[in-house]
Amino acid sequence: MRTPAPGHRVMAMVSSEASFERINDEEVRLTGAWTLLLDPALRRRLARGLAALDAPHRYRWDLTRLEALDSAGARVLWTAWGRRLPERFACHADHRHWFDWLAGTRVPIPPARGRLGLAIERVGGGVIGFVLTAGGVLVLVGQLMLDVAYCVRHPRVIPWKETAATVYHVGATSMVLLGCVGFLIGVVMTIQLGMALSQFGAAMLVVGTMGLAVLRELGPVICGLILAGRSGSAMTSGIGAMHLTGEYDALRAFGSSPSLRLALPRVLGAAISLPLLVVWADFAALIGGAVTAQADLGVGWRLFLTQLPEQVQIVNFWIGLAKGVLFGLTIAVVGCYFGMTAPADTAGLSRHTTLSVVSSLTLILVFDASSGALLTHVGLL
Amino acid sequence: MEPAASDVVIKVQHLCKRLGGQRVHAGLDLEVRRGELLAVIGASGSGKTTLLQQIIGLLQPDAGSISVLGNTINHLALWEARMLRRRWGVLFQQSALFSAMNVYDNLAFPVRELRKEGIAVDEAALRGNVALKLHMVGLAPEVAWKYPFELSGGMAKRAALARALMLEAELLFLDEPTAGLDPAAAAEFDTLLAELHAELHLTAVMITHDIYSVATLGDRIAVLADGRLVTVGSLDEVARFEHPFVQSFFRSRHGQNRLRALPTYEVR
Repeated sequence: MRTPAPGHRVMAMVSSEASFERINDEEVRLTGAWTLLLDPALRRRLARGLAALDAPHRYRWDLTRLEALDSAGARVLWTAWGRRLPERFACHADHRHWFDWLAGTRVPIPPARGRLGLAIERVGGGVIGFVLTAGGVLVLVGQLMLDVAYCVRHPRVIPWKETAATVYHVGATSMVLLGCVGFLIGVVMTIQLGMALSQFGAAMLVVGTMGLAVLRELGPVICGLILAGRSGSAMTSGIGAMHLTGEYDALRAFGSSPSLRLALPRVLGAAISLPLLVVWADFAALIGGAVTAQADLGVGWRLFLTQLPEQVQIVNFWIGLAKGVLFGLTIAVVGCYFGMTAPADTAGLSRHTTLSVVSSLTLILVFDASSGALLTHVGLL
Repeated sequence: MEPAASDVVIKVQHLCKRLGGQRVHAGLDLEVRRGELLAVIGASGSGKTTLLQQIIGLLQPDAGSISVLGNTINHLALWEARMLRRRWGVLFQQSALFSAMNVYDNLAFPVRELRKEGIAVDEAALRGNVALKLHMVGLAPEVAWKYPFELSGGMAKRAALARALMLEAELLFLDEPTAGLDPAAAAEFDTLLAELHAELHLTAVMITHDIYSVATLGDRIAVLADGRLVTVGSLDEVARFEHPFVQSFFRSRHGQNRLRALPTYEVR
């Protein structure tokens, strides 16, 4: 076992304060514990004092009486000496290594980058990133189509179990939430439309207007938005975390295709669950509407239900269902893409999860607006 | 030879701990002396890492006492625990560098934390300190601007070691320092640890199952099994000890081959 230097970092011992003394024109003597990391004020005072000694290299430096020396203390001396050892210098053997280390140290200079360069890099990087992401999503869609074709030819590889698990996690566990939200939407829509329509004595029309809005727009969009936050994020973080644990590589090492084993069942499961959830949310919203119409507007719930097919064409229900399928595909493809491309570090995973949710929300609204613009001649009159 | 009380840096007495229904420690006693490097070995699941987590206060012991640098750690006020934690450094098995920060910010992190307690270290001193610690662990200054995912396993270990040394630790905990490194990188890292240990007069506790690290680095070797300390002593003493785990660790063909490669070791 090695014997430590006298008083080296022995905290139980009361160490005296670091100081130095110019003995004469020849010699400077240092005393006390120069452990300065935890005492910046003392360090600055000593640094100023040492700087006041002009031509430090003409002195003999006596460090043998130091009780302790840490890196911060050694650096104060080193700076005062102009980053080289004085010719006449004595120190305890255990303190010598600090100066050997300091002699080999180069301070890292951060890579300089102009503000303009930074701005151009950010904008350009953003554009390139967007294009690459869009391309990557399209590649994944293509790969999934190939996977489906492969599954049709080899039905044994169809991932039934994983698909069923997705239907459960995306669909079944969302039913309470979407039932409540759908009911409340129906209530609010009916109250607000009913107020406006009653002024024209047309309270009866509330059935058609809220029915159309719910079946064609609100049902699928509400389901899409909630599921993008609830399931899209889970897909990204779930697959992304497999990069951290190495499971993703393990899967590939066994020759299994990540798109077939991870993405396809989620995409299929979401495409099955979302339209079913849309039906469920539509149902809850219409119940909410019927109840409110009876309580608030005096339109009986029987009348509400018989008037509904009269005033709203059934094609709107199918449009809503088709949107559900489209939104389900969007959420799952985007969620899986960002999960599969997530870097294997925690910061990257959280960034990708955010990107996944934001992208699917945006895409859902874009698709909804486009379909609204394209289908103006269907089912509205 | 009994060491003087002031020379005992860590004293673990009658430590008992159950985790997930499993008995991990059943009356474990251990002493770490000032300036030594104690290698702790034991079979998988013998509670090496659990012991470390209790010493550094990440886990509470069920019974028994642990005293570190003269402080009984289960009876510390919050600020006392913070003061104590500043005096040791921990090198985690997976390096545990913060992946959202580059190496410079990772190293600066413990010093910047001090600012929140009113100990302001100016940026120039901090930069000098980071540069020194990078040099001490053998990393080029440019590594400072890399992010953890850009580092090889060996470089990440070195950066993590530099971070553990930022506050001039007097006590260093090493959890499997060479795990996951290739033999060449592991040998280099062992050499680095030996040099730093000798020059900084650190007290160090190293958990490992790398027989090469044990033989080259350990001043003393402690063997954990069945929730207890089975034996502790020099390499020769421990290697001669009659215990199934010790036998399989040192006397297996693999262990013998590795030990024979050491210049200082004689096979009995």
